[in-house]
Amino acid sequence: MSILDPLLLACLVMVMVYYFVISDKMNQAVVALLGMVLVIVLGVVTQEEAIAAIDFNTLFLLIGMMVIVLTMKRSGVFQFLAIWAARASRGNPRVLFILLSLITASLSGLLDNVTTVMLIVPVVLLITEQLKLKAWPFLLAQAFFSNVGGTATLIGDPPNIIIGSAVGFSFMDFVYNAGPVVVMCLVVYVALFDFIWGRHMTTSLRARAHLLRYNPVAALEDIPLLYKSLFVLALTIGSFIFGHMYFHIQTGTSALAGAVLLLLLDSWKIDKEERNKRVQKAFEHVEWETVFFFLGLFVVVAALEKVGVLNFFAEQMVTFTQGDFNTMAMVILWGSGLLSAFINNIPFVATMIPIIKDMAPQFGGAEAINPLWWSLVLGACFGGNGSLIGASANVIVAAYAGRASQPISFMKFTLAGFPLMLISIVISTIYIYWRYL
Amino acid sequence: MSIQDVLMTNIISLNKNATIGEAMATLKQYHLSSAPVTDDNGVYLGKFGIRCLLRALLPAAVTMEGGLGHVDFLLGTMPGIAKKMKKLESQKISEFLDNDLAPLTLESSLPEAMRLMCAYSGSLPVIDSATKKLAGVVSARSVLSNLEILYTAISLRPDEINEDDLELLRKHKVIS
Repeated sequence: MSILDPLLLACLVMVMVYYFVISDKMNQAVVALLGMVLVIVLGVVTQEEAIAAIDFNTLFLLIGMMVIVLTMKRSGVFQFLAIWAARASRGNPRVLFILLSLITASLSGLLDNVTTVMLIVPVVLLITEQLKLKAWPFLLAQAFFSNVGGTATLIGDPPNIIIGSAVGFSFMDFVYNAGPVVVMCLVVYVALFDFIWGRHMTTSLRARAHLLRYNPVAALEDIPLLYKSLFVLALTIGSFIFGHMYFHIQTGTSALAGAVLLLLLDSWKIDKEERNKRVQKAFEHVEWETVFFFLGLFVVVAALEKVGVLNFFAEQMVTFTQGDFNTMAMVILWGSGLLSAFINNIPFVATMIPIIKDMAPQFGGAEAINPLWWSLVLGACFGGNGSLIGASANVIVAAYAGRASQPISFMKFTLAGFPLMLISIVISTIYIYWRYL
Repeated sequence: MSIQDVLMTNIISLNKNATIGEAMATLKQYHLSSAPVTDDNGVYLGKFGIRCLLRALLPAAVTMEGGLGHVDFLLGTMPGIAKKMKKLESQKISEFLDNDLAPLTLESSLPEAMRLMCAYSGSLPVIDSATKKLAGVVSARSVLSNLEILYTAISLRPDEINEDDLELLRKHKVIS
């Protein structure tokens, strides 16, 4: 085989991308783009094929949701929610612990996990400092609950966005299929967290009194913006559900439309300079690194697909499971769970999508393999809890913990996260058997 | 005109082993808002001042990178902060230094010093780039009074172009 064989080149590029993403020796977006440039320049795919391989629906959805959330952030609604929780719990740490965790889980369903924890964690640190409690159980809960909450919806977690877009699942498909298992996991997590940490938490009455003086309404910085952004968020989610059902509008378009509407409302009738500044800021804060990482990956995966490597993997997996559908679902669930705990689940999911698609003919068509997709969704998302590097939200939480001099080490995270991940995968196993197999 | 012309070398500096209480007393005595901090060998470590103390008094969630942008909702916390201030008095200042601003060196240009003065309040520390030792500080006032002197000098200058400038123009073949 010549060194210039496209098959070999595509594999080498993918190995390089995986190596640098896992070892974290190069920025992930730069690696993915380098991989993309290489497969085009080396002639594995043409530029037209590369552009066709980019899932713009996913990118639009990411960008649109980021713009909406970042604009919404200015209203102070996230601080408000956390401080409202402090008041609603009457400063009782055990109740507050669960309330803050459930707020994060719910927000993660509607927003991106990383954004959610970035917005909530600072307030959590403030509240725990006021109550003189150790911050780390709260912070661990933030990371775990954001990963679990994000699993329930199409927009909650990046793997879901990619899978939903590639397979054509709707918002409600995710709610119906991933929702029940997420609720089960949340119930078990709440019980465990309360048993391990929550029931031992105590604080002084004076500290509780201080916390109760916090004024949630004063945390709202821009109330008109709050109404505008809640309106737009509701409209966008409505459009994810009904736009898809009745008008065949894809989620990417809905999200961008929401972003445009919110920017329009936010910059309506204010002077030109301030208007442009607001819009520029909204675009500036989009995480372009993530967007370009996805963009590069789509092309590298398409190159692998074109040369037939992924088809080969699909056949190997079918041979390995002896063509048994149930075994295949379990292999995908457990395999993706364990792998996602230690490697970035985004390249993994992007690679798995064509592999699973290739299995469709063996198992009786595209409809019949739906349980495999749900196995991938649950494995990849829950796997994120398995270690500190399993999900970007974990890394963000640890970074904030470090800045507040309450560090969370890799081991500390993994000792709690890995068993929790196993529990959620066991729950998923039961769920998938009961529901689909 | 260079940094050396405006450098003040007879200055108040703090030792890194000083406590916050001692440092605040020194700053108050000399009516300063901040002072450079050095180790026992005179190596510059950062600045310590009133703002560092304010920063240390607020909850970490407010002052950290990516922290809370606005805390109007923080009511009733001042007694806790007052207690924290008393507690901090016995801590070493080395934990609370302000290192946001890289110090100037003896080779820095004066416009660069002026640019930094626009952005940061207080005088700017200047170090010897070879030894990293504190050489002195420059203040906006010392720069401005030197500019006064410079203006007097150039206003007395004859109209003819001087020999140095002619030399430069010849070197670049502007004139022959």
